[in-house]
Amino acid sequence: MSADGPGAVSADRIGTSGSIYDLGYQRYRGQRLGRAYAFRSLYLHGLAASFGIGRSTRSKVIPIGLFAIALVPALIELGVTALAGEALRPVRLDNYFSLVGTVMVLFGAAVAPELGSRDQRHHVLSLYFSRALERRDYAVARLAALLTAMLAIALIPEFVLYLGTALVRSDPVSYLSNNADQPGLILGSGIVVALQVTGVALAIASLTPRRAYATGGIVAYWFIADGLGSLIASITPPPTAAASQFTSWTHDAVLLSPSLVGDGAVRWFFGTAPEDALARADLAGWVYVLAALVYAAIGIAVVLRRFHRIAA
Amino acid sequence: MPLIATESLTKRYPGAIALDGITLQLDGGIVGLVGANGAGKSTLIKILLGLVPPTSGRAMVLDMDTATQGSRIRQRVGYMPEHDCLPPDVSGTEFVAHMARMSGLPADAARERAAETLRLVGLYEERYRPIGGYSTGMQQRVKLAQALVHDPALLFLDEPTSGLDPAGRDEMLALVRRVGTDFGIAIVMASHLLGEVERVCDHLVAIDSGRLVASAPLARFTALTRVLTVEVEDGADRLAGALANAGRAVTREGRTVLVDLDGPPPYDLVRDAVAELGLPLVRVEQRRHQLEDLFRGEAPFVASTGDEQMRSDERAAAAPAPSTTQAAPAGQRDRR
Repeated sequence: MSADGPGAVSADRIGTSGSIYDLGYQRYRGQRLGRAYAFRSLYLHGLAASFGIGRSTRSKVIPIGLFAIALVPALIELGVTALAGEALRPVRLDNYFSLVGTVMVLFGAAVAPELGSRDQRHHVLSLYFSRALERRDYAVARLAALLTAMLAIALIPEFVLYLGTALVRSDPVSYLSNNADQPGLILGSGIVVALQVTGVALAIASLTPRRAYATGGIVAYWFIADGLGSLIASITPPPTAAASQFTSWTHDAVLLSPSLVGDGAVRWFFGTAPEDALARADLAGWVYVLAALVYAAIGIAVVLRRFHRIAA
Repeated sequence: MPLIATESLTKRYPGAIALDGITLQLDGGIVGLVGANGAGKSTLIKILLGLVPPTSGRAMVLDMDTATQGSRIRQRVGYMPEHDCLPPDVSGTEFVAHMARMSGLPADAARERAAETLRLVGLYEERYRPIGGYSTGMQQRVKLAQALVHDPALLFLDEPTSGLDPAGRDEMLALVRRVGTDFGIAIVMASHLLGEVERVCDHLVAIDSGRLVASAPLARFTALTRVLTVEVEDGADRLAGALANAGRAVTREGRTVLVDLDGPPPYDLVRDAVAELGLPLVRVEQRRHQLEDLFRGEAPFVASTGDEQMRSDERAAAAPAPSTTQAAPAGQRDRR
């Protein structure tokens, strides 16, 4: 439809005179849709790029593979339930994040550099910033793209599990009506953990133009903070006279661990009892939700500030 | 409506002044922005794009204020930066179409304009290949295409020939000239090479260490001077002596004798003196200003009239410039 090649243009214009392709410059008299449209386009472009759409096959493998892996626990659970009944329920909505949290982090480590570092690496930012977009628009479009991709990973497997569980029941309708609160809980907990992972991953990626540093930085931060948090939380001070007041001090270090924070937040949504380190810490569930949102807020602030300041 | 108007535009960085009170008005055509590296050319362009806020002063582009309407200005102008700015792993068409959408063109129009613009700058089948495989010349063309794709009213080109070999340089300059004349798009082209500016521009703005040295039509810079150049194979000193004895103000520069043209025409006197001394005459011509004089501070400066303005510094002050303006205090306000 569009006159793409020179041949297509020439066919109806040149008649018999041969290969005159140069029609001269044509003014553009069509619509100019402005800043909001540019923002939307950048958001959609970033979302597609998150899954490698419009890029080489190679860049599709990792994000789509990780998405598939995030689905695996749900599919296994459904298969087991369908075959063996409900005696065993290792995979549930309230512990899904603790199973696939790592997958979300790896997805962030793979995709955030694409969204946050790549344009810095190739100095493309000055081309964006010299257009209708404002710097803040760019940062927000990048955050929104990664958040949407992250929500896909956080929510789709859980909804598959929820709806699949209903379908393998003898009476799906009564299951759905008995568990009508679940979609809201999946959505709420999914948004919180997706915000947390997105904020942290894009913040780290935005600070470096180098893809490898960004990926390494995200993975390193996450697992070092997890290890550190768990380690400190596992220390129980020797009982002393005043110990009863202070024993929980080190246990609160679970808040340093991004995975445990996400896990605690999700469990608060579903109202299930915390286990292991979270049980020892004995913090109110909403504290984890707050902590996850604080991590997200810090990450978002870093991204906004970075793209506000960066020379272009 | 002037295309660009600035008023006491100043940009200070910690420890350095990039622009120092630039007051300027430009009406269109192809404007050359010349100055040595670090003179403030890129800073001026970035302020005009609204990318960098000035420390003080104000700038209007297309009748819009860069401080408050930056986004609207940027929809109507194109910018080709000096540095590399292309991702290597997408094709020219894809990249330019994406940039067209970023300028507000609907997806279909963006694709069509991208293909057409790349063809106009001379990229054909290559445009479907990843940019990483392009030569420097092709990359410069893609950079120009992304600046042109949304049909801007004004184009800022920062050192468009940077990194090109002589042939590529010629082609790029011809392309710039064509964009300015055939396409009718106003251009501001920054360059540190006077020769390039001389070849493509109609108007010249010279800045040096952040200060405006001159702004005038190019012809003004190469206008005739009131000096007659007489070049002889040898005996220039004897010729100078003879002319001085006849009461003319002369100076000698190597094999040439410069005769001040003020007073009665000296042509007969020169002819007779050369004949009497039997000197081998090479040429007699009225000397022209040279663009290079701008930065040498030798020749008395070009007079400017009408809306062209000249920043007051020693050289400009020496020129009989009726409209020479001091940094205008009116409307000056601190922004930060």
